[in-house]
Amino acid sequence: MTNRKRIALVVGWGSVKCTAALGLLRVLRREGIEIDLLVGGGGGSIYAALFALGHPVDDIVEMNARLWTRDVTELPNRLAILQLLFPRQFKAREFFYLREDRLINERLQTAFNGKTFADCIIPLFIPATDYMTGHQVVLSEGLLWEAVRASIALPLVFAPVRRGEQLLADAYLSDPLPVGVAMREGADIILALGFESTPIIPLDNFGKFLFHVQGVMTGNLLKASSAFHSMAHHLEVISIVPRFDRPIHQFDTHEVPYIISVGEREGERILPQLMRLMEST
Amino acid sequence: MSDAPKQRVALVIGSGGLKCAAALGTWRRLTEAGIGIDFVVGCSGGAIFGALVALGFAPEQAVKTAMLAWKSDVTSQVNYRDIAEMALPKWLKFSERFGIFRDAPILRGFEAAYGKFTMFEHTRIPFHVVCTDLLTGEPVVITRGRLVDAVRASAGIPLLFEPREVDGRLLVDGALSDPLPVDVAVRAGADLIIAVGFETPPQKDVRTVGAYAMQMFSNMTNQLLAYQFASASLMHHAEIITIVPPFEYNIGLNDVAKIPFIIEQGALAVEPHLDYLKRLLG
Repeated sequence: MTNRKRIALVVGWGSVKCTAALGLLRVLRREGIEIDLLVGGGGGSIYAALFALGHPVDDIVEMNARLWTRDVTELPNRLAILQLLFPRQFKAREFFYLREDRLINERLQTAFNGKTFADCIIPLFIPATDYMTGHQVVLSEGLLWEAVRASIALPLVFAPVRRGEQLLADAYLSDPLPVGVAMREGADIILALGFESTPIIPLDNFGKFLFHVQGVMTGNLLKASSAFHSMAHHLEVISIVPRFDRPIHQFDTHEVPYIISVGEREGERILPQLMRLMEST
Repeated sequence: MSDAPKQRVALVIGSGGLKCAAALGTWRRLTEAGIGIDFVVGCSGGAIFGALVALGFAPEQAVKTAMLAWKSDVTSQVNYRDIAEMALPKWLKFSERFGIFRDAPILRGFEAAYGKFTMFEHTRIPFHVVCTDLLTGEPVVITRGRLVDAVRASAGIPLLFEPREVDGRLLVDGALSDPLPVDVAVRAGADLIIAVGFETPPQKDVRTVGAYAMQMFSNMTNQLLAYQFASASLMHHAEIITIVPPFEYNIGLNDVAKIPFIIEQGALAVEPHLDYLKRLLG
């Protein structure tokens, strides 16, 4: 098949919900449908990158259980409260953040083990956001763990990542579901897996307040970008926004099997449409 | 007056903090050119200054009143109680009514500016204020009730100011859901929309929490604005004239001395569109 259509999978922002991608990939694997291009932003970057390296889905599930646990966001930056209370006296050296990133860095380094974009067997693109301009920056070379770290750098929570002149932060600030990247990279069919943000109730600490407010903005940005992309419609975008029957928060890692099953269900649901698009000329 | 049905003209003023005062200059120029406004839609800073247009102040008077509406003391009262709650959330019962600054100075400004016109019913032309429901994230459009409540809710930048409760809902800055609400004007039946929008330029120094958080919001708001605006243009249900008054540098929340300059930028920015507008309105 020389004229086979190029299929891209785009996994957007959604922390633990992004593991739905694994369920979707399981269905595609079973059907022998190959992915030609992977784009992962925010939490989606972790799974897109591990899959791009050629890890089987079941291995990724296991790796994820070791990587993504609540304690990665539990190391406080002790200076943060002083910087908040006395902003003039205690200016942050570079920028403000609530959590130290030592543990998350270690976990990512372990998971990606020195691998770079060049080691990927499926072309991979990881978007992040230039914090000072708000523009999307698409990473496609260098160490994978560093790219993932930039793409998940939730502002105020984790420090952004410095790369040359740029300060890179969470992909969602510029586009929570980076379909545009797959379009530019020449995909014919785009599977766009995005997530609505889950309202956090009750908002009984600052961290939750912050996550919630960021979730509100991401949700609205997702709606706006999806509306735009479906109107502009240059090619086939199959948009997948899984619905969960219960609220799922950042670190509900015990929900991963359920989330993956929802991803599988979504995979089954879109399969006929995908097959039709692959066959049409 | 021709026999053709009159076209309904909406002035939409998007979020942009103090820069939104530019819309007063735009409006003054429109008035001088004989172009009337049938209703006003305002979001965030756009609601603060949009209220003056809707209340029917004469343009020169509105420009003077703008200086009352927003003073340099808006971030002068730190809310230590809420910051303490942040440090000890369980003991002091952190709640979603969190804000680093007290809003008393802002409310004083609005009350001084709007004077005895405290209700939406006092506006000369219909006025729509866009806010965001903090809990659901949806845009909420307010068209009745207390003006100060709605404007305060719409301009309530989260983290900096406490959300405002209006009709049982906790509301925050409209910029989080609809930074340049041309869609609200379309739904309200506008034929011609004059949309004054603002991009937020980068902060110079992001070493304080406030500046860092503002940078985060402006990144997202700029992006939301770009997508929503692109969609509105694609849909094209109404004629939309976008006016983006240029600002070379960042205008902070406290830069009140620049209000006269900001207003002039708004007047200059509409100039190139006046002939086209007049032609559209026959």
